[in-house]
Amino acid sequence: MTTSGPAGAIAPGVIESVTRHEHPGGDHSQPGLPGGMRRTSSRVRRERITMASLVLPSIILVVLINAYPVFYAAVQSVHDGTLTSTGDFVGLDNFTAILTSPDFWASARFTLVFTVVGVFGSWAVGLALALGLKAGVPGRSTFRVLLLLPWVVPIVVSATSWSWMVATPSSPVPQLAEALGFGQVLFLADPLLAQITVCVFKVWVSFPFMMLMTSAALESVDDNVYQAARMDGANRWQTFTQITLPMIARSTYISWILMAIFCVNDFPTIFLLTGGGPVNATTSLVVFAYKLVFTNFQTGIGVAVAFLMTVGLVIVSTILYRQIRKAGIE
Amino acid sequence: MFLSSAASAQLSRRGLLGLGLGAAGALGLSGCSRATTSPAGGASGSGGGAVSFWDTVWGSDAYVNRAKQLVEGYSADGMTGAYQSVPWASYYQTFSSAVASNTAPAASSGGGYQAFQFYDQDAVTPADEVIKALQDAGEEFGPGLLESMQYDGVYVGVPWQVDIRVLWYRQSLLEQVGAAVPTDWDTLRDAGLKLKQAGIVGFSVGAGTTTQGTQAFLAMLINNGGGWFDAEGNVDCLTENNIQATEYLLSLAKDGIITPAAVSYSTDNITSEWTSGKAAIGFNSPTLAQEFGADQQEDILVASPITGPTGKTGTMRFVNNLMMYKSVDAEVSQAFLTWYMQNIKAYWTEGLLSSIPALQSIIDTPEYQGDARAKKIAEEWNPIGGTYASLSTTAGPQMAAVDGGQPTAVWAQQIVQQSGDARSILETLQTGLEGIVKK
Repeated sequence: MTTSGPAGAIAPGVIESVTRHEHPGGDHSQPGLPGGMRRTSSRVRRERITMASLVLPSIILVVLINAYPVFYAAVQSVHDGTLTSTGDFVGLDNFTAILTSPDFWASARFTLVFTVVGVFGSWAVGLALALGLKAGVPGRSTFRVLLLLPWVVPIVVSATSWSWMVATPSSPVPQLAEALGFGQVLFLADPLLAQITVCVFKVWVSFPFMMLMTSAALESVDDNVYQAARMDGANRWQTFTQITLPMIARSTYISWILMAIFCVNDFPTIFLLTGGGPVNATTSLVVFAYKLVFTNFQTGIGVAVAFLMTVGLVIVSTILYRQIRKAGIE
Repeated sequence: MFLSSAASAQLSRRGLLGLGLGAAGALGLSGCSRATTSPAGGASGSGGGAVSFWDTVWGSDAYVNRAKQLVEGYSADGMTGAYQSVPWASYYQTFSSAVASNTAPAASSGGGYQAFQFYDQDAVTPADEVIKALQDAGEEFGPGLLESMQYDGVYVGVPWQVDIRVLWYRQSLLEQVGAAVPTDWDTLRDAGLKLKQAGIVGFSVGAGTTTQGTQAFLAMLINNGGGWFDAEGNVDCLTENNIQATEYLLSLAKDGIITPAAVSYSTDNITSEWTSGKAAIGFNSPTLAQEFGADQQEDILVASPITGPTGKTGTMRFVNNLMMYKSVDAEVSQAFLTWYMQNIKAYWTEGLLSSIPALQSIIDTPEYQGDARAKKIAEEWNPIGGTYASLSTTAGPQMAAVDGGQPTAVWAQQIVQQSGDARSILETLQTGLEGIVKK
């Protein structure tokens, strides 16, 4: 970059001199400084202002995009409004109503179960497949593409397919269960079975993501490490637990955090398959919030649920990221 | 960019800043200028422009195409009609966003209680002038339809068609098991038990991702002289008639006449159950027959209204209506809607809609009278139809929350699952409805 000022070209050495004085917290406008240095520090300030001005639109945009909805949600959560008007201020009544509602806690419990199963179930399947693919099975490129299908196929299509397979007594899977002597198994009609089915569906939809993340992490592990371990007499289990898992830990933790966010915010998987039923058995917090806002038209209460979810997710994500940093996982 | 002189560097930075500010200013000005143009909803006055009509999807593509053709054929005072089809998925969000941003159309169809909600939010214009104009032109509305549109001393919308729940049956399946067409609750049970023995569903419902089950069960409550609301519009679920009806429905579930799998059924599941011959009786909308092939049309029939233990008859219906938005000059939308109501006959004469037309003049057409099923529904079922408001003749904005709301969905699912006795299930419904209904 050419350094120059209104007075014309600056002699070599001045910049170095200024640079020496540029330190964090330094005062570049102290009286008694040489005139050239004052000019230079003034120019630095101008450049900073220029840079700040250039960055400002982006910052404003990001703030508007991210902060405005959160702020608006916070406002709506303390009002008794509709979708078209803010309504009356009701203080913390909406939050009180939520936190004393058994339906909210039932949804929170299912969200926790759905998230834990979704994260660790998909991770376990994804890890196993990633390891299998790394081991060099024949036709692994084809397998990799095929295994990505659950993630690639639109959720509406896969949810409809699953519904077709399990919803009615004459669907293929209940028919198979009956043929195997399990009697009439109603996968979406029994509350517990519906919860299991929805969780399994989530694992099925999500494992390709985990497989991709893990495959990428596994590629970064140097094969020499494995060779060294083998020379030291490590068996497969020891290699897996002492080398593979620690070396992909950072990627694993990040994928857990991402998948946890995906699961908590997952609306279509549940809504398309069960609609949150039967009798709210598979209603997660996001489905609960949707129903409150768009079917019960209790906008304030619904937004309060969503707001609590956002706050909860931010706190959990922050804690997990700090834990990753504290643990010094590379 | 590489700059070789101090002057160019200065100019560039300032120029760049100026350019940025200029661009921002231009954007701002363009935003201002856009705000001064007429709303997307349509013309704000006479003298040219488009009168926008938003229509939710009431039929097949043929209906949408015909409606588009009809609306775009509108021409008055130099203005033409503009048609916009609105999918049912998230339709309320679509209309709410338009209202909030003052870009609502001149008029629209939509949810059965949408007009009440938007009237309450000061977003729609009363439809009294349109109704008066139609009546002055000799048009007559079906029984109870105008009353159901009254709220706060005005008509909030113009009834244009009725979606009603009627009792359908598959004649061949009843003959197969030796059952008679139900005429009351006892014969409905008898037929259901015979069908159950043959592995056929005798009371088809779906209570999963569809509200069909809720509507069918409410039809049974109304059939017994009950409902969710009393004549004054108060939530009133724990009546003797309701308890009796709920006990009956629970007994159907207990006897397997209502399949336990129905608790998770979607609309597709119900349709598949009917068309595959696994269901023989059930409440459904007038569109059910359209799901069957031409060779099965003689087999899927509408029963006459059944009588409940209290000796009453009844069912539930939606009075679908058209509304006009305040974002557009009332005279413009009134003129358009009056014209539109006088020209929608083609939807029925061309076989595009199965619902009951609100105007008697359409019911009286030879085409409509020539459809035995449609005629039976209009003559026998329409006069005994009640809305979600049940015993109250008028509805209100709170019914929008009831329509598809959680408490009623849970109520239907609890019946299918037999989660408690009739009283406890109705108590849960009462509490739930009181929570979402604002008086």
